[in-house]
Amino acid sequence: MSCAEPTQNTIRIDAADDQGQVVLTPEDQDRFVLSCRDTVRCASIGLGWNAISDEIDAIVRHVAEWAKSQHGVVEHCYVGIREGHLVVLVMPVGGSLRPDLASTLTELDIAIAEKFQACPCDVLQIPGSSLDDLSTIAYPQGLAHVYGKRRSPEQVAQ
Amino acid sequence: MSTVSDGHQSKWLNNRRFLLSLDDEFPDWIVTAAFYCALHAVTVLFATDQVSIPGTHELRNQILKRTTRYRNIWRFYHPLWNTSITARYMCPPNGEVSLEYAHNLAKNNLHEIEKSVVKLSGIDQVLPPLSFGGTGA
Repeated sequence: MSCAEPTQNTIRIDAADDQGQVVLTPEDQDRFVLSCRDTVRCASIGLGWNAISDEIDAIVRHVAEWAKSQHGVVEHCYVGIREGHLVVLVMPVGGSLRPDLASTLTELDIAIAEKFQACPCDVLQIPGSSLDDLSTIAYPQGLAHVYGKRRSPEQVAQ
Repeated sequence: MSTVSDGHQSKWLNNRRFLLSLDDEFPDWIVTAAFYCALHAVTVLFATDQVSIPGTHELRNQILKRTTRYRNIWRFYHPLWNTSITARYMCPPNGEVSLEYAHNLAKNNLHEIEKSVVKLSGIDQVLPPLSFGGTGA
């Protein structure tokens, strides 16, 4: 893991210090105390989550760019969670399954796997025209719409 | 002595017999049966390669797409997996899988996966051709 050079303001916390405690003061001033070990553990989890969060953002940007290149073939793209994994759901123009899109999606799937190592992700073609059509595949309210004409609230509710 | 590989090979061939018995009325089940043939075929390869047998589709997919040795299999497996999900979970008209596409996935994609598995695993397995009666075959 990379780290900045220590300065005179650097605070050192050693997980092996089983007596030490750290007082943390968040923005709302609701102070709390953690052991040194828990402080190190929380920081590691936070940094790990930052890396995953950055990668999800990068995957979303990658998929949005790809979808733009498929204008006229792809109607909508969503990114969300399915069975604990990231999933890219591609809805083709016309609302029906498009066999001619299959190999293109496989190459997108492979490109994502090669470029983004932290988040396992699958790409799926899902025919349909409304967000509701995705409900048997993933929880619709948990999907981020990354490409396609934005739907009105009435359309989303359909 | 029966091995993990033998067990999955038996399921693969059993599913294959089921696939060939299906009527043209059921393209959704043709795709699904073809997919489960492919799943057990790749598991045979994992077993002969001494790769831990994945317990979920997601783990299996990650191994197939991220391992150079299996990358070509993934190119045929991914559309089969995707279409089997559509066939099982989506309803007509959107989720409809044409008989022509179902036959195409079984005859081309499954066939390519099986060829790769036999070649890479070195198993002695002769597979009868996947020919379907009726229309669209």
